Amino acid sequence: MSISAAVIRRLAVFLATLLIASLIIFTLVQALPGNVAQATLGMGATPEAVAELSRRWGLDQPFINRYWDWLFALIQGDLGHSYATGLGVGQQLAPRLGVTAWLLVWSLPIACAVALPLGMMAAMWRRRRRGFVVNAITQVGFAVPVFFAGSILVIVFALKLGWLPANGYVSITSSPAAWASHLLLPVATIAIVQACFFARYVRSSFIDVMVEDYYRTARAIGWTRWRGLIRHGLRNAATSLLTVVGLQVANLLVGAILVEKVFVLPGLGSLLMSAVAAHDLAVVQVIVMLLVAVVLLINLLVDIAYLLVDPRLAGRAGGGL
Amino acid sequence: MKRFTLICGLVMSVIVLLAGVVSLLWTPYPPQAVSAANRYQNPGPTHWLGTDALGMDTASRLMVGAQTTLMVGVLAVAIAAVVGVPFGVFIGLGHRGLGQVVARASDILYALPAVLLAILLAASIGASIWTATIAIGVATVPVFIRMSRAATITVMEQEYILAAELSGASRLAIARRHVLPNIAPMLGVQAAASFSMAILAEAGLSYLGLSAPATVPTWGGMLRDASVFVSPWQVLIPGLAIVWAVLAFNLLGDGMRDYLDPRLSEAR
Repeated sequence: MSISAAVIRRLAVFLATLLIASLIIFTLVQALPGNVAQATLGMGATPEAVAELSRRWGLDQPFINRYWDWLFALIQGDLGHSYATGLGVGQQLAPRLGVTAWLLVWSLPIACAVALPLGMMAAMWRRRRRGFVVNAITQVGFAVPVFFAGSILVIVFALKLGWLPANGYVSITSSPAAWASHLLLPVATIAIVQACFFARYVRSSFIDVMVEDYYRTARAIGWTRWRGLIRHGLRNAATSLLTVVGLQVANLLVGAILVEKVFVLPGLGSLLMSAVAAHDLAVVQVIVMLLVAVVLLINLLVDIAYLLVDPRLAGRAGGGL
Repeated sequence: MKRFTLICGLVMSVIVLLAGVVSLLWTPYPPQAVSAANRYQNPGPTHWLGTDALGMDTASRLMVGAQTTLMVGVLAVAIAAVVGVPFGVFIGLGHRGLGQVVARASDILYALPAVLLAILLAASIGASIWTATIAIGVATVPVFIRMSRAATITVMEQEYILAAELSGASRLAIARRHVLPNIAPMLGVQAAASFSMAILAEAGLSYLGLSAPATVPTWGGMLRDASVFVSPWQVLIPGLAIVWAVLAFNLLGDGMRDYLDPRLSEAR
């Protein structure tokens, strides 16, 4: 199979997966349709008012019709209206997107940049005490819940040292310096926890290279360990890092939701949580759909990146087991 | 070194288990005893780990919180194993059509991790300890499918399987008599690792208020109710409890793996 055919095949699988995911999300969220109008209007509402609202929102339609209507509107860019506030979901979403996007755009590369040297050191010193220490740090680090890590950073850097603000958000347009200082701790929180997770994979991929004959040969002809690891091991580590990033995107988004709560950031996660509290299903389903689409899209890109690195994969089905 | 990991994990896990079991019979103070005069006490001789915003004893609530942590973990891993292992074994035995379907389903579940599933359930039917457990369990199913599939394929390459096939044993008989007993130790290792991930997920959900109701003490809930500005101790203590439990079962899993199969050890 040629590479372009393989890319098209993966694209088709991506779209089909997205479609099924949308059906699952809609089914789960809309399991109890009648109650939405009732819940919105309150218990004192007359049955006529509830019926009127149900009709206006199309809640009296059969399930499958409502699903198609929602999906087609979504494809055309109409995200629907909030059940709680009546505002357009897109309108509510727009100012939130940037916050969450900044969080992820900064924390992912930083996590990778920290994980590479960390994993490399753990691999290089794996039989020594230093390696054991690095390994222990990553093992503990990845047992720390991201919201607890955030609290620790707040205690140290905001309360004890007073270097950075403890919470809140300032947009980049109003003050770039304040924006950076407010984002620094949340980004560091996600990056540190993810880096510890990534580092374990980086470590074992470096070890995979270190037991190979070509690495031993490189050492025998006088290469230093650093040179051998960078020339031979880095490519291997980078590919395995790519895999883990694909697998971790979903957890990264969940981490962002939690971190937004810790630092009171007005992002997608906090909108999602307030929508859940208000039973605002229209907002919940769109945000979850958006998050799922992002995860699937990044995995598609990782898959395609793989194909470009290793064309032999073109013959195999993408993703999955 | 190998024994060290296993023993560390075992001791740490048993402590969590003991805390939960003992709390059924005894806690230093009643976990719900509100005391306005004793709010935000630091750890000391009367309240070992201090008190929270309502003057409730943190040590007692921590012990009771272990119950939720353990129960959600056990049930979620059980759901994942009961659903995932049969699928994994049958795909491993060579059921290709099923493999394709399950691979696609796993893709979707990868994009819908436990917390997002729990959010969907919470939005439609309301958050509870059950929605949290089901969400974590379902999200863990692909892990068990993948693991039991890989383990089954390894077993199926053995010559005694060929002998069993030639002597006319059915697929089901091979699965039951040869595959399951052989992959059971690996499943134990996976269960410990998944258990620690379930603890982490449950903590996140109770932190977001998507698990047990606010009246039930949970570690995540204690962290949510505490404030770093008023009493850092009340943030640190439940947080460290979560780290302890996650680390305990991680080490237990790693230790079991190294003990059962030294070839898989990371410290080659």
